[in-house]
Amino acid sequence: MPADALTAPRRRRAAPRHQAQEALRQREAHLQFLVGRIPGFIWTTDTALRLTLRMGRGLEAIDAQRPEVLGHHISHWLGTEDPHSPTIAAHLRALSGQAATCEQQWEGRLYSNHLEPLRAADGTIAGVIGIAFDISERQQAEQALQAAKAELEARVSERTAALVLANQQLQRQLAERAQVEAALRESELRFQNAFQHAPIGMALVNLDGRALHCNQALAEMLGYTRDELIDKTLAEMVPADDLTAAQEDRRRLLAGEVDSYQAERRYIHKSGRIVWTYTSASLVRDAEGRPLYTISHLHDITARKQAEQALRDSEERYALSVAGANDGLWDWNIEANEVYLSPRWKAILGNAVHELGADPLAWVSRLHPADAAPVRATLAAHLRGELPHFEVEYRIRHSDGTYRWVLSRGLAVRRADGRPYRMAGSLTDITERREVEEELRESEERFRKIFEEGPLGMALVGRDYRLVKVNATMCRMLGYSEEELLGLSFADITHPQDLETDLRLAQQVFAGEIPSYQIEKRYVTKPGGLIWVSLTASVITGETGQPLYGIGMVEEITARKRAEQASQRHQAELAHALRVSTLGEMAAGLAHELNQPLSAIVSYARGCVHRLRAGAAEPADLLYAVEQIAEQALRGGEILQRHRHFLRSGAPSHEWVNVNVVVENVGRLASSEARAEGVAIRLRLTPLLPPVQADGVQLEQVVLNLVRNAIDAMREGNPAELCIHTTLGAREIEVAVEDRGRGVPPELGERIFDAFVTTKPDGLGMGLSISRTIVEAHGGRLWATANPERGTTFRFVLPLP
Amino acid sequence: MYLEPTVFVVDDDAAMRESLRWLLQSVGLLVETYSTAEGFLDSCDPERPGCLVLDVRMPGMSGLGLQEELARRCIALPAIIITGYAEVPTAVRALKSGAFDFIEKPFSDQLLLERVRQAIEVDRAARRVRAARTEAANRLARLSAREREILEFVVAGQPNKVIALTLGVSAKTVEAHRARIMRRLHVDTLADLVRLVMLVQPTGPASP
Repeated sequence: MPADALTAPRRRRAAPRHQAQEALRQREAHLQFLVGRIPGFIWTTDTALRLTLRMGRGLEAIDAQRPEVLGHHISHWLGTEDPHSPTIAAHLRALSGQAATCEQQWEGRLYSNHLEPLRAADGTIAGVIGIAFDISERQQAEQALQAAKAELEARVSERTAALVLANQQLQRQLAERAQVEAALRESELRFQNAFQHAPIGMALVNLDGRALHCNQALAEMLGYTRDELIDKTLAEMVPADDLTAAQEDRRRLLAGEVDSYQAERRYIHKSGRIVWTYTSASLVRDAEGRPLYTISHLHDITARKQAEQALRDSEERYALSVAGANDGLWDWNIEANEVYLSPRWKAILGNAVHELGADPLAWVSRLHPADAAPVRATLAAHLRGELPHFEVEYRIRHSDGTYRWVLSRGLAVRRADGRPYRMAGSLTDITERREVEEELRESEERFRKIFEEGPLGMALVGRDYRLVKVNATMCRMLGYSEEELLGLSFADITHPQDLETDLRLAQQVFAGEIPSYQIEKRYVTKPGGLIWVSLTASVITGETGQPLYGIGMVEEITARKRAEQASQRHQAELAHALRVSTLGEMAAGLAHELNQPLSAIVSYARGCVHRLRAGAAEPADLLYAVEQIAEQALRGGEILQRHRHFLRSGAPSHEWVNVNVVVENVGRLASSEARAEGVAIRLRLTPLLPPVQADGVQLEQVVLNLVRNAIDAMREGNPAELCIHTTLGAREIEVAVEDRGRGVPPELGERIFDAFVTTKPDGLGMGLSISRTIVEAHGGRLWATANPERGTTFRFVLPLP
Repeated sequence: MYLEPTVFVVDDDAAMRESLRWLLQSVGLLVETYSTAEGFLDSCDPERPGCLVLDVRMPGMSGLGLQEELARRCIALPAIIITGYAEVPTAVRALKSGAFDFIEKPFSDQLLLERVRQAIEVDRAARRVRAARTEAANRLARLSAREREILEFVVAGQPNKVIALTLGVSAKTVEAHRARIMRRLHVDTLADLVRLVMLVQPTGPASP
């Protein structure tokens, strides 16, 4: 069995729904296309006459700059609130179920509006659909026609008068006759000309219904030649359905019941298709008032009519698919006290509407107790005319016993005296929206509580770094009132030394380069004091991800900072004391080191003396010796300088330090001791190490401690060799001091890093302890490992910035 | 002596080496400098007279180590040890292993120069003694076995008659040998003969 045979049925089931959706989309697109291109425009309103949709090319001409009318009552758009204005009246008529037409001036142009009720699937009126066409040109054409007609009539009277006059004065004015006739001919010619070339279809029809004359525009409109048209009767030209109405209009005109009529009238084109016209006809009488013939003007409005029709069809579907799917509809005939509820309305309440009984207002009994009174009050207010429309959100009991949130909107239709006789509206299930809103509200409440009552200082800052919102804790910390703080930028309350870092990070957060940052910084309080805080800052973004506010959470850590600083001071003092002690131990070495340049100086000087005495002094030779003397004196000075630097006291500094330079300094400091013990110090330095932020002297102290321990461990050992390595890792620099000495007694292990633990007979046991403290204060680690063959390697790492 | 005495300076500190060279040259001494003990040992010629000036502390072989190595190689060059540390144990060790002197830095140039001159003089005298002893030994080596046998008795103070009786030869024969020994060793008196033998054998005549 082919695999298709198994899957095909499923596909067949799925296909119709897909096709229906596709068809719907196409119809929607079609509607958009049509509406978008009609020369006028359409709009729809809800039952409260609020604009729900406006479309059409013609909108550009009237209010392209006023898009805010959507959602508002049409009076905003029309610029009048007068309920008797023709357009508002026509809307109300449409709401009551009748089509209505009116004319409306918009921005200096005249529009013909056609209004019809917009009905939902169940036939209830959901609003009004309006269509407007720009009839300014048509009006102008009509005015031109009127002018032509007036001229014609004038000419007719003139001619009649002339004839009478001619008859009366025939004998006496015979000579002038030719002249008069000529004038008459000229006048007729002018009329003929106007008639033939008018841009609107025109026909003169005699009293028995036959056309006397028709112009070219009319012939073209209906597809006949003018001669063919002359023989046609009304019955031949008008569709059978319309004939009665057409004949009735004509009868009334001929009978003198009306002077003229206007109608939208269909004619049959020679090709058989329907031509929609706007027809206006009037009766021409002779001087005695006897009917002579009728004159008709026909304006082709076929395109408009087709567009309207298409629009109505599409709009109905549109309304059904959009509104009908979600909103329940209700229509309450107040006078008959009957209510219509749409299937969707019933579905919203769980289809258990029979429980409501016959009373149209029985649904009120299902209202949530907390909502019943406000709903009643709103409804009553609207019925009394105090509220322009009825719109209320409330909870109503579903047949499953739960309450659903709904939005009910409605509009009463009133009689002329304002008494409502009918009220219709929609019901929307908004339970989900309300639940989301509720969640949002709770979340917002939680945030607000955290913000306002939390133990952390909180502040919102704008993009200009001004404080937009601060909580009570923040105010308390800084000693300012809320009003005072809100006028300040965060720069105003930040310690100047911390400002640059904070600003740079804030810029990065606002630019989206980092999601958040945490720093320890100082604020200046209103009384001028300093507080240390830990600040965590991030950014609140808008819907499109653009940053709106920076939000800072501030924890005061002044006490901790003070303790840290005291501890650092204490540690620095201890380190200094130990440096003094170390240097004391190294005093013999220092003396020896100083003896080197001193001895050399003596030898050079005495050598000069001997040469001078012997008279064998060459100036070039003496120059060499004297330069050497100066150099050796400087060398002695450098040695003293180095030791004095090592004894420096004071707070730990944080300068940029090259670790290789630290190691080289220690190599020199330890050189004389190493020589005394016969130990060779070898440096294996990785070139071009990046600098680290550190206290250089304290690092020297660490390395010197390790080197002196290594020298000590190699006393009486052979070969006595000590190697200091520096290596660059991915995130740290490692310094290793490797000896070939006795090694650490295994029973001591990690305890060698404890204070007062030592393997030396005269040691204090503080060296490794302070070394580890210093390294850890720099964010690093210090540890020892036994070498595979002999000796120990002490290593420490320092983090790279 | 066909070579001028030379002061050999061994110090790892360049300033010390060069300043010592400058000082020693100023009084007309020949100077050679070495930065390590090993470097000096590599180029050491036992025939060259003079003295050593050594720094006691050096990486690698120390000054004391060098002195001990020279003794092991029977190179008798007087050594003046210079030190920055006035440490008694070091000084004792240096002098015990035959150092000529032990000078502490910073030192007086007069002291150093005086000791250097003395050391050179001592070396010169020692070399003279060594040369005489060598000459004497060479002459003794020219004697026949019988002559060396008779010389042992003579130096031991035995009269000719006793020697003749002991060896079972005539006194006249002993007399002839004795005259030939004196001639061969270029000595005229018995005293000169005894001194010459003592020079070669300072501890007395070896047992035959």
